[in-house]
Amino acid sequence: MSGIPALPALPPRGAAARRPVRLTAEERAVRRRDYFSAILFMAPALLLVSIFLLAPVVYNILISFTGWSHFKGFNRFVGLANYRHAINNPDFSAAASNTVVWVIASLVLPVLIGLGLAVLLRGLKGEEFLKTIFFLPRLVAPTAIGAIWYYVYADNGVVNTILKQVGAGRFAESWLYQASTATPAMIIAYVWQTTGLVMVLLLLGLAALPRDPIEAATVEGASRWQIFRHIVLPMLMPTVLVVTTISIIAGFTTFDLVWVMGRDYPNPSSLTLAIHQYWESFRSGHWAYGAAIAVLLGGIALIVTLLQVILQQRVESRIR
Amino acid sequence: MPGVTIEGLQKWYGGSQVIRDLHLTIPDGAFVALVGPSGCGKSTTLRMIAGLEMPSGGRIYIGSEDVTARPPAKRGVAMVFQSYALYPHMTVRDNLEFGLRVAGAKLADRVRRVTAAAEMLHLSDLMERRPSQLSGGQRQRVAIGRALVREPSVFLFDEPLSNLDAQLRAAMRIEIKRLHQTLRTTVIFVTHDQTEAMTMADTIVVMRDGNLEQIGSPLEVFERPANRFVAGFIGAPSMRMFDGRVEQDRMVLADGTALQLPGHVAHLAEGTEVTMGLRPEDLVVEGHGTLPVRPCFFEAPVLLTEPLGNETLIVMPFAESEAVARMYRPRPVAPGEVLRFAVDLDRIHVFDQKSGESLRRASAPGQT
Amino acid sequence: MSVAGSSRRFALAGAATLAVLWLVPFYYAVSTICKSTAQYLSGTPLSLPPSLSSLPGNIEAAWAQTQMGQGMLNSLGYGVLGAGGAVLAAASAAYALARIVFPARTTWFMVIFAGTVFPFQIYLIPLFQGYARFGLLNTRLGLLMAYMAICVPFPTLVLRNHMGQIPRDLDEAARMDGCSHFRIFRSIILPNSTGPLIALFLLQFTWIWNDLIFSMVLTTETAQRSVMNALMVFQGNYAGTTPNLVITASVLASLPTVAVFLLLRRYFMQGLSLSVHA
Repeated sequence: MSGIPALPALPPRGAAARRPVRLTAEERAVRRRDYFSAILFMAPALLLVSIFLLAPVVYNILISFTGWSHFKGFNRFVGLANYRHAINNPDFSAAASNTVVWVIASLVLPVLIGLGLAVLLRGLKGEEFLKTIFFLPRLVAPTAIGAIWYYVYADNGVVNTILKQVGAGRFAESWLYQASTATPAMIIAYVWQTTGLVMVLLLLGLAALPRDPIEAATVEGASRWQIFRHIVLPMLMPTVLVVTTISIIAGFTTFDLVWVMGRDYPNPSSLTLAIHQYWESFRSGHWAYGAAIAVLLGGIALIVTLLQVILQQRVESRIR
Repeated sequence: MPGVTIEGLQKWYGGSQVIRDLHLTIPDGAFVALVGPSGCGKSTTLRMIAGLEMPSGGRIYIGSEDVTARPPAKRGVAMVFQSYALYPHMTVRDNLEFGLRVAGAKLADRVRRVTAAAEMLHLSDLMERRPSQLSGGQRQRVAIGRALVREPSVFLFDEPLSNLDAQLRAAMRIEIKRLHQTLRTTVIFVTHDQTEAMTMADTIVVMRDGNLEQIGSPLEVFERPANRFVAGFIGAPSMRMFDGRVEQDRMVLADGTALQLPGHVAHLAEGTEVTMGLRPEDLVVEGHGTLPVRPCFFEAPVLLTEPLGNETLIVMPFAESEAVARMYRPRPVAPGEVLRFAVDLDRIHVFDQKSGESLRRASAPGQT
Repeated sequence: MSVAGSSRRFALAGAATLAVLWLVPFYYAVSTICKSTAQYLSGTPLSLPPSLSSLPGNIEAAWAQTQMGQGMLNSLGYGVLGAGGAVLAAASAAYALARIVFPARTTWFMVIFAGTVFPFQIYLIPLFQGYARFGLLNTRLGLLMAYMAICVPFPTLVLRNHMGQIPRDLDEAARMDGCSHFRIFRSIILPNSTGPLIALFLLQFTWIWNDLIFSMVLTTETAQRSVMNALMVFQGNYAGTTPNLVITASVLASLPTVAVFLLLRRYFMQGLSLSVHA
């Protein structure tokens, strides 16, 4: 087998020799074989993802620019009409403002409570047991949780009964059906479910922190709060960032819980963007509009993720 | 039939040349040590022989067959890695057997080979253990066993002893040598430790910067280094170098010290710029060692001593630099004490100051 | 950072109180499933059940009316096959990305990982329409494929990281032994990745089991529905009249994932720590 390429004259011994990369025929053959093998290995994943995930994304974006509604107008290009409709649609605005509340609450509450719990539980006896208790709701499906909490909030449910028993019966409400209380009530159920996960993730992050800086600060006489604020928290930032991003995205896409607890839709008081998108697409047949909402949600998710990546790098370079 | 032949081997990584036009013939059954400083290309060369890397140019022959394009398993070689590379999830037995199973060998064959290798390496009691349950030395032996089992024509060792402590290293050196004597298979052994190379191999190949500096027996490489680099690399404590020039029939060093030119360099022209090399062995302390036949005496105060028990190393100033001498059957010596030394002129090494090449008359550099 | 002395007792008390509060809904659920409808409606929600005698009846009724057997069977299939297939596909892709040298590896990885970047809403309409076109709507195969695809990107990320940590000279030793890439994958890399593989399988299985929306969109009949979908339908129809049955059904539907977690907690936790570090 020939294939030794003619090489330029060798430079004198010891001199740094440089030349553009040129491979022998054998090397090229091996690389080709490797590339081919790699593609084969990636094929199942690639096929699944391209067909069922990536192609749909493209399709969705395209649809959002058509006038597709019920059975008409699939091929009618209407530009940004659907997006304009979204902005002007009162249902959309109600859903959007509810969703904002959801995001803020699902960001702040689980993280605060989770952080507090994580710090409290660190090194405590029975940490494992307590961890399990708080984490258990996470394993139960949101659907089941929604079904159970529906009755917790029912007119003769747990909350109202407790209120009546402590003599605060006048506060009893139809929690899930009133504009002002529907969303907060659902958020409480949501927080109940997800705080455990946030707490566990933060615990993992805390466990991974190096001990030396903390010990050094203790020796220098810093109070526990000072240590927490100035040392632990900054070092925990990367984990907090990851947890925050997950929480935000979960917050504005949460569907199962709201659907099951809300039940009578369209109900503006508890409407979220996720519900609104589903309802418009699959119950009202406004395909293009539903696609547009999905694109908006996707865009927000992308921005949030991007922000997280950027912030992550900055935070990590600061702790190095 | 030669064991391994390398012709015109080259290797480029990105834009820089790592191996330059290497030519090497290794006879069948030889124990060859590839030795040199980090980055000299010895491991790369070994890996190309193994088939783990592809050369950018040149051919590799094992026996009489051109194996340059063949995958590792089809070359009849076996390799022992620096980190042993044992499969952590398999027992010792499975580790030894794995290659045979991949090759489709029959059960009887596999059992026979594995049992034989295990016995030879005293692994028979450890067959059902996992690598994580073995000591460093035991893992070493399993790695060697894995190579043994393949019954290769060439054994390749990539710095296998670097991860062992000194005592274990010494013991394993003997084991490997004994193995080689029993099996008589060609061994190519890469190491950065020249002592290891010298004690184990019958042929030493010294490399630097992708070039082959010298190939020869340990004695040749020690007594007749082809250039300043090899001279300084082989031998511990290393040879000390002193610049000077030839004037008439002497060599004049930096501070004017003049030495009679010995026979093997008497042919040098007037004015030649040279570097003289002096090994500690060739500098005798008067009264503590056999005086050379043609001594050249000088006196110098002791700068530093390193007592080693059976001998003491003495560092003294010489020709505006420092020289080291071995003091046999030593007595306590204080720094500052003046001693009388004798230079063995017949054993000094002389190199060209610019090129570093040995100027010894009729000395072939030893390159094939 | 630990808490010392009396503040420790305070912390323990605080945590214990919170834990008790956390358990109230569980208590509520467990006590309700033991009451018959009449008992539930006549007593207060948090009262103890008079006896356990209504429990078997509740279970039987809930099971039958939600057709939970079918739902669980479906979800079991979706979960095991979907999560299993996804994790294997991910492992295969991760091997290439971590161990084989080929051009534009990061780009290929991004292509696979792009699947997780978007919220699920963006897949709903296209999958629905696409499935309708190709006759996959309301088929078990269709829903299974959707689940499998969604569960591929994250395990790929995690496994790629994990496989990248395995020492490279194992591959080289295997090559000396004559292994092809596939053999190395099968005999060396996979066996050394069992921890992450199991953890990821459990995480994805739980996600699939708990899913509602994809089943809602892509299936229309009980025969194909996931267990949560069945639960939702039941709750939608019967909420007002038989709360104890709905809650029984909820508890039944949740038992498998809770049981799996309690039994295999170690792997779950490992899966979580892998998620954070990825």
